[in-house]
Amino acid sequence: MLLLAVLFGVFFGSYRSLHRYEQKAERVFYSGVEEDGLCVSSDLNVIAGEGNNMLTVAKRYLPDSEETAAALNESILSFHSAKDINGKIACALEMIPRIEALAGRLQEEDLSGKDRDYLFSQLAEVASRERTARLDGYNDTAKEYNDQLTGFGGWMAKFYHFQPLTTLR
Amino acid sequence: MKKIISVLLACLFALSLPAFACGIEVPKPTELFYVADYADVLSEETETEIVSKNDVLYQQTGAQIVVVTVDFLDGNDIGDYAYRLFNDWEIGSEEKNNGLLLLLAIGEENYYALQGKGLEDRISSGDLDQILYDYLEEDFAAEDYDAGVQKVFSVFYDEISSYYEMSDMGDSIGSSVIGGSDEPTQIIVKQPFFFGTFFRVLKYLGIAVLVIVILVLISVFGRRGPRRYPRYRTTRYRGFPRRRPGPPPPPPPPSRPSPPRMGGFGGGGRSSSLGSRRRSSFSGGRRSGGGGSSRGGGAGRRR
Repeated sequence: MLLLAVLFGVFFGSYRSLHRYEQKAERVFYSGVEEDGLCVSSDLNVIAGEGNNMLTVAKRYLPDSEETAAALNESILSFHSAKDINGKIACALEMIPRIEALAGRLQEEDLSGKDRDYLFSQLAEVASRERTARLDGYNDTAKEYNDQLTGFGGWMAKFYHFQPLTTLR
Repeated sequence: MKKIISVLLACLFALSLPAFACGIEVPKPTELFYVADYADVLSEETETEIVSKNDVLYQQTGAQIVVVTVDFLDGNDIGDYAYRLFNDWEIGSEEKNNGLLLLLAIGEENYYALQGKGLEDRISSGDLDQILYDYLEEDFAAEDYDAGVQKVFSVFYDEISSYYEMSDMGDSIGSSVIGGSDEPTQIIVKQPFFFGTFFRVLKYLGIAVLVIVILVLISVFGRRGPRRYPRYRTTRYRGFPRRRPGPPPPPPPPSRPSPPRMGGFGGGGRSSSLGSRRRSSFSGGRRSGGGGSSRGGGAGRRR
């Protein structure tokens, strides 16, 4: 009986511990380290928004069949339909180079002064948000959680199907 | 036990240090704080204007616009350099995180602006990019750095002032401090800044109290040892002193008159040593960061 109680304690305790780490990382991702809304989720949403804005500018100069625009559009749609943190980050990491590729393509066109300004502002915003996401405290909490999944907790994590979280560093 | 507490104390201090350790070395702020012209490209007038306007801005809103010029970045990315500098210098108010850094790397032909997280809503990185391009790029490309900084600083100042609905103090900042201007000015303070300083002092006091408590614990636990029971009882004399009183202490020497004071001013921060190479005629106490931080966004020169 004592052995069963100890085993139960170990299993239950490790589950609770891993779940707590995972919840913390999720909270930081969606709400920020200080729960003020300044978080990776908002940064990635802004990046997607700027991608859409760039597509709006692109429509004025490039044909509908333009590959770079289509690829970016696909990434943005995937990003919005991603269901979890790993999905969001994977789509964002795909989206950012496609935004840069489209911007590069647009710079070959004879853009109006205003559109050129829009383009550079969008690129600046994307680069800035990528940087803040990379520096965000979410990466530290995700790493803390991932570290718990290795070692002794590793087989426990597999037992409970805990997945490691992707970081942006 | 003493060893354990000493180790804990060391850990406490280590944890109080900034968590991010990018490995980038940035210069220390100058005594003027708001302008650090390490590349020696700014005029005295520009430096004076930057400091004067910042004094008003900081007093009313806690915001700080810091201008730094360096020659090179030692191989670092300018955005990372700006991020490290911003957070090391703690630009802007701690509560509102409303600092703004303008960094010019002259030898690298590059510049960067970085806002505190409290200003991200008002001045996005896209906005920064546009402002830099509109007001700094042309002069920067022509190597007229002073003119460019003057223009872009004014724009930043106007943006932040309007955000906090500061009244226009006009250009007569100096005259209002010294002799007052003819037109009365009304200052609309959006949020009292006093409480920010109060809470910051409270925070430092709290840390000091914690350190004192730990030191007291060390001394208390350090004194404690295993109880020793004497093998014999000591006899106590009641009513009789155990020792003879010693001789009375000698009388104190007669007091000498104190020498006349050589200097007049105590406290304050007047110093002739400035971080920049040129001596500025602007006087005032030592300035420092308000405790602000940035998330690391910002915008740089278009390539």
